[in-house]
Amino acid sequence: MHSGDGEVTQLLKAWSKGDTDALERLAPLVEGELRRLARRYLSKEQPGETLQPTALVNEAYVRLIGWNPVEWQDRTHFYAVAAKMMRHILVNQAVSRGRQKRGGSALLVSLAEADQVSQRSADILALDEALIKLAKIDDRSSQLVELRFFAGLTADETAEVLGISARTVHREWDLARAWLFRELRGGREAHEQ
Amino acid sequence: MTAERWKRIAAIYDSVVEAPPDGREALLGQVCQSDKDLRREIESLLDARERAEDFLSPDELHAHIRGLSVPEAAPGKRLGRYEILSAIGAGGMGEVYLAHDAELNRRVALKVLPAQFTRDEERVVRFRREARAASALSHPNIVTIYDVGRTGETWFIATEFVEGVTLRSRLAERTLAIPEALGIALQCASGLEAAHDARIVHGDVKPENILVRPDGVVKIVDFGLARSTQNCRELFDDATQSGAVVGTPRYMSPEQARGQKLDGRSDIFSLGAVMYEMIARQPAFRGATNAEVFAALLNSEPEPLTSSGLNAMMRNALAKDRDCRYQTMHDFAVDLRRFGERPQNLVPAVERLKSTQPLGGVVRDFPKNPRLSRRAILTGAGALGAGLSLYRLRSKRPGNAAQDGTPTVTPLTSFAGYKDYGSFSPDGERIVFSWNGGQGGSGGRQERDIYIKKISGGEPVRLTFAQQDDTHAAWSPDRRSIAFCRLMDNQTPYMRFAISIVPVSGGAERKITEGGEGVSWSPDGRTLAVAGLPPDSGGIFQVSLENGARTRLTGWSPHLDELPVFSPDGKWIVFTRSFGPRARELFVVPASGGSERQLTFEQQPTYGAAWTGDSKEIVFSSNQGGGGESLWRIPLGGGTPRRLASTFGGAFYPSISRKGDQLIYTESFRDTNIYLSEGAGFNGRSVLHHFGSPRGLIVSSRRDDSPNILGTDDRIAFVSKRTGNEEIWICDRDGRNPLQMSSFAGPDTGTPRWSPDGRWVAFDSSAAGNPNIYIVSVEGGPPRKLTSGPHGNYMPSWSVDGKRIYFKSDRSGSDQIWSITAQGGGATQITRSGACEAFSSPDGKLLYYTKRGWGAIWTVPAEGGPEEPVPELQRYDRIFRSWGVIRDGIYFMSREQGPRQTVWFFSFATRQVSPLLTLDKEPIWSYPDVALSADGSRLLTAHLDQEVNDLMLIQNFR
Repeated sequence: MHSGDGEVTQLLKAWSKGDTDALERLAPLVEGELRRLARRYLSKEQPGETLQPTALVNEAYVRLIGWNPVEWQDRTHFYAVAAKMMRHILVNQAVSRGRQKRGGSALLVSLAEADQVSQRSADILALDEALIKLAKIDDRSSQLVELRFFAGLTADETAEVLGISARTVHREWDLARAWLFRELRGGREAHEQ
Repeated sequence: MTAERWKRIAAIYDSVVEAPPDGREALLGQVCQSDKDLRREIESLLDARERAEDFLSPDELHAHIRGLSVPEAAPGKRLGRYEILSAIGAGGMGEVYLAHDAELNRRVALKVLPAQFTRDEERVVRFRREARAASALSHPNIVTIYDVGRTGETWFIATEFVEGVTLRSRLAERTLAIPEALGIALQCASGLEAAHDARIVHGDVKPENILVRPDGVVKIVDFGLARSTQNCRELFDDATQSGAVVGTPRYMSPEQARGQKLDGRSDIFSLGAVMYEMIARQPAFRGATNAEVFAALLNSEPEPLTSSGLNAMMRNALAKDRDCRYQTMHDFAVDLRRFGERPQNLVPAVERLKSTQPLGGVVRDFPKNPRLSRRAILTGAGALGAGLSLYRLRSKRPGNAAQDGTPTVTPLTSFAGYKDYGSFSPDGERIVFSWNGGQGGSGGRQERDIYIKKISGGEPVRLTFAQQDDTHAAWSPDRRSIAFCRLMDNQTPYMRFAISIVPVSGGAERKITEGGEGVSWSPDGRTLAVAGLPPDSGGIFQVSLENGARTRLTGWSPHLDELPVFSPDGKWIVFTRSFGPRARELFVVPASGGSERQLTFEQQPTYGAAWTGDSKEIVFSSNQGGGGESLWRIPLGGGTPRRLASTFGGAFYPSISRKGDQLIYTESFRDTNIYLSEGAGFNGRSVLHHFGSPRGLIVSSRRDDSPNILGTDDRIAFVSKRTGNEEIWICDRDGRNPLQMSSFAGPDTGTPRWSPDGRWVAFDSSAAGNPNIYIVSVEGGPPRKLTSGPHGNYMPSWSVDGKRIYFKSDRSGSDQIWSITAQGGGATQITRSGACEAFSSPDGKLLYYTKRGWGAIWTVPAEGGPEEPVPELQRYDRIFRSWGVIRDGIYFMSREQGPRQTVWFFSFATRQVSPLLTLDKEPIWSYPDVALSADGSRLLTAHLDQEVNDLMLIQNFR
């Protein structure tokens, strides 16, 4: 439980063995690290040299778990948690921005920037809702989007995490993306028959 | 939409997408037939697909993440997101302010660079490059650079704000005792070592750049910035022209004074000069003018100090020729540490004599306390098979504490299963705790319930019966009720608890509130302290038991606050705040509300806290300083924590009785041991499957595993946590003469591997922050780090000629086998398509390697080349760390279903695989679990023997 041999590793192992409590303890650790790293990356960001979400998730992994030669399983589990947490962070961020806007507090950003921000906030909330809806129809697709979009995983990595083929990932991603796009931006009127 | 419908849509969508565009129409008509809705649905999805373009692209995510950094609102004069609070001072690099970082809600030191500096383009570029590099450094002895930026033309650096004084003012205030000076030097050395590992040279180590906090923690500032903001030329100009001092040359290395290119050895010199001054109370190199100081540091030696050990260190640090100095900061640090521990024994690393440390020397190093000396005896006995029962000898009947008033430690709950979170009844005669009822074992934990037990004896009485996990029970001051936390919700990112009360006599539970982890009664019994849940309502609250009213005690913070505990006088609440998984610090806040105050700065996880009876001190569990989680005490007013002498490793969740004379805590750790099975050995064709049953060979009450056998005389290298830390040990073939080879006191040291000649042991360790490959001589001397850089390097093994070391590294972006000479230097990549762990073939021409973690065995030429599977071994594709190569074949375990595992042998002569031994106990798996001697006759296996988990009672606690 707390043997001191790497808390996050232990939690991942416990979780992979079916200990659902472990996820609850894991989440704040992962979320905190992702937030911190995002800030750190951004503070160092130079024009033309943009942050790679995968790098963010991988670095969070390294920082939390260390470089222990751990089972690949741990890494895939970690990706799954990280994807959820990234989603959670961005949704919370969007919610709190909405609240700030309503509260009328003076954001120290240019108007143009503020507009972009609120546009993005709206997008992320809509995406979140759409994903919840998608999960009810097809849970795995929703998880797949979480991994590919929020954790920035490649198709191969996503396949590894979900235990399906990369081909299946490509197929399901294609459909989920189309479906989500339609949910968010609306569908056109049906084609003339 | 139903799942069935969706599946149908998905199938059609896929086939249409894959069909050629001109055939889609026909295909749609064919598959949808008369189902118009279905067709419309597919068509609208196809249309969305056309329009989606870069929808959900990485760039889009990036834009969202960028949104995280937009500054939030705060009034007042500000630079970017920093609100300036007050001026701290001015230095060579410009003005320094105390500022508030509005976004992260923390105090920062803000250095604003002078305008003349920022007008010089080239300097700005250099400065930004340096600052960016330095900002990647994260080490407890380095002031962290948070941010480098500008608003308009003003460049600034935001760093961690350190409440403390410079070493310069400390030296002016008072004389430092030698241990204190050594401590400061050692902390500087560890910080600088970390920087050097990241290829950053400080370049201006001097007392002005060393901050000392009131709790004794030392922080180095201005990393790498010195050189981009000043240079030697300017100093020289100043010194020679006007005599005015811009900076001081007193701590400069000779090479720096000559304007040569700097490396880490220059910092070694400067730190040596600082250390000299701390001890001698005068600078190492003196002069009335800077020119005279330059002359002194280039040509003369400082006056000798009083101790020959110190002088030896000074000679090694202050050598004029950098090739004659300590070559790495690590070597300097090792000597500082050894000197601090055993001044009489110090022989500096660079001239350490060949000597085998006697066992007595090893045992003497253990802290003095009865339990430990028992452990030390175990260690010395080495080949004792029954260590566990000895460990249990400390059991003594509780309830009759020593009459002479000396503190005693006894286990309270020797029954099976997970026990945790003990706390006392108000009269101190009973405890309440969490227990899973005895279904222990190494699998996942089960839900626990609340139990009550008399300290003097008797069976535990169960109080709660829910399916959920009940923890953190606390006894009401009126003795009638127990408050506890019940884990309610698995769906939020935080553990969500119901805080409830149940009568001690049993009966209906009453839920008081929801909240985070931990609950505590006010001494008057009228309110409970509970933790809220972030993000909306984190923080610490008091909840009235009369009307349920919640009062928030702490200000807003983005961090997770947990485990509130009232002081016995009711004035304070201590709680933990998590800044990250490795930094859960103690805070106190007045129970009447007010501003919270941080007590610990250890950047270590803290597990629970308790107040001493007089409300003046707090006892908490932390792994600070390494050595495993122990109990520490710290005054309410802050200061340096002191370790409780009677706890050592694996101690969690303390609680103290109301009278303050009893303390209970959870002791929890894993015990693995190494077993020997002997067989007939290799018979010319294969290793025979006639192994005797395993017997304990290397046994202590903590971790002993990862065995490796030396080919020539069967000596054993292994990992042991018997000192509280994972360290590398060696011993004779019979387990005798254990000798500790590493003393990193840090995390993740393992995979010891003998060099073929038995003179060295290679291993991996994260002592320097990330895993690196080290070698250590069995004849003495500190371990040498062979690899550097920010990558993960692990699992070393030797070439047959002992000249090279193979290891796994992810420096190319994926896990591959690399090779490096045993002297260090550049590494060569061997595999290209993924690899986990490699061993050389007996003729040295091939490497056998596992393709990935839990993979099968492949080969690659030792210089790199075609990578091919070993065909006979491909069905054994669950191999992870538990394998090796000897002259006649390969031994391995490949994880099978179920707990029973078999060690197999693949004979090079017959190309056949045969079983060697089926194990009775489940292996550990995360570490190497097997080793076979060169002649195939001795098989070492490692098992998990026990997960110790007990509530421990300290009586006569003071």
